Amino acid sequence: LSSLPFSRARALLIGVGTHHTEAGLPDVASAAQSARDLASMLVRACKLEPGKITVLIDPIDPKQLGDAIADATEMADDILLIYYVGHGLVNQNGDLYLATSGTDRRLNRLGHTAFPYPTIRSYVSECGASSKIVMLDCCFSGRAINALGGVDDGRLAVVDIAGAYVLASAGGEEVAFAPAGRPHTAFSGELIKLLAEGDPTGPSVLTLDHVYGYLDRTLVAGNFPRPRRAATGGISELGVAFNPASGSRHGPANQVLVVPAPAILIGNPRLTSTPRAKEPRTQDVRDSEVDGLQVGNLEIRAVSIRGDEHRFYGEARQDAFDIWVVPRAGSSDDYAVVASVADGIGSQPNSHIGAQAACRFLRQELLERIPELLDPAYKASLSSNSRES
Amino acid sequence: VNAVADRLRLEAHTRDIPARTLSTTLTCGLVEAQTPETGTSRAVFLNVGDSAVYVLRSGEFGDVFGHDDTEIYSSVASALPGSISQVEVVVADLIPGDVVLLCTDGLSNVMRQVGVRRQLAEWWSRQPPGLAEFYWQASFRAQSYGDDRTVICMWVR
Repeated sequence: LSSLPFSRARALLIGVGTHHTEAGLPDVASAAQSARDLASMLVRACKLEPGKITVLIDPIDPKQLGDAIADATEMADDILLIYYVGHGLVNQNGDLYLATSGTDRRLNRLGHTAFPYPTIRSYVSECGASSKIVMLDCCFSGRAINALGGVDDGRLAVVDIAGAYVLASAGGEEVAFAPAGRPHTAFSGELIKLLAEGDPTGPSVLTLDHVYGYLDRTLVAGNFPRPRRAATGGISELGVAFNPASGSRHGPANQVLVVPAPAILIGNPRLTSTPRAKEPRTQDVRDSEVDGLQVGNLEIRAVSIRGDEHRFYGEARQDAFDIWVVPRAGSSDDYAVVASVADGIGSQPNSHIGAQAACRFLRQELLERIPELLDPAYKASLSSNSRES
Repeated sequence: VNAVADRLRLEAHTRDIPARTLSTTLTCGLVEAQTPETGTSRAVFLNVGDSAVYVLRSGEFGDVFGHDDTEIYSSVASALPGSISQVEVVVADLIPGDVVLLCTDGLSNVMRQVGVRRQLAEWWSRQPPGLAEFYWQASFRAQSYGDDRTVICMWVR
């Protein structure tokens, strides 16, 4: 489990904090830094490729913002994330608009100086990506959930875009907060903190719904507006990052086990150890077997491992082993061990069967003769003739 | 061993395949699991073919059948059910602290390399490893050694 699917995502992060026009909006000092710091967490925590992340700060007009969204939806073929932080505005019909630097808030100018959210909705619904995530950190952003065709109850929203997830920082009638003097807005700050530090009470992988649940918990605790979400399909369970705080409170079950790759003791092996498909004839032969036991004063470990050549060519392991514990006559706790290894001859097609059978047959044949073999007299009989047929 | 060869031939007959297609080497160790008053455990080793038995004692591998001195990578290995006259038998006395290794040539060939031998001696001279650790140790990779690898280690206490 070295990478999550979300690491293949394409992301567009838009931060609008500077406003130019006289009839414009108050600046949002923390918008640009929120977008930039989230971008860096997408690389560090979510392992996105930096080349697939676009950060757009203070687009001057709706065309520049719309072009960036259109570019991202065209290029995304797997997972798309669009994030916006800035002012959200509402016109007289209740439609949500996202501000650009040049937005004029007056109602007779808003429509052509700000970007209409329904256009984002239609661009995203046309996008070929299988999973589409929209995060809005702005006032009235809960309206995006209504605009996506859902019900703004914060939990059960029906969105008519397949595989879409919308996360909004506030309800449809609420303002979002950018506390003065803080580097990030309230919503984005908690999101960045979660990705950076993790959630000690969370699972090992943070899913979109876990992100939402965490933001809901922490924002409500800070007296900020509740975030809202809407989702379709199984996207809620999409894992976005490994939880860096996992395991600090939970047992080993929540830890991501890191097993080192086998040591390389000679040279630079050319074949990988990754097993390819087996030929049908030998599908019942396991790649490896491992065993261990303690008998009397013996501690035993045994392993049979398919070689890299057989793994690469999808052929069966031809080695076999067998371990058998036998009581000696007249005793219940006096034991001997019969251990055998066999190597099927590589050029023979059924040697994997022969190797297994030989180990088993030898054990069965030896059982009767064990007292005789272990008797000191047997060694004496060998000394005159070291080979037996 | 004769009986094993006979049974391999019977197995081939039952499966309706030529007996020689089952060809395999076979190496066996019979080890006493209680140390008698003499302080040594008796062990009997049988072998047909190019697998190997080592005793790891005082950090050094001793080759029980002396195969290390014979020709490297002999292409014609003795095998059952054919080579029933090529059986080697050795009786050995083991002392506490010994580690007995039975292994196929997937391990014994690469053990001709000093570095591998030294690493295995270091790993296996200690307390017996856990199963996952033992699997990991035996999974070491080596360029040009891609054969199946089987090893049974017995630590004598």
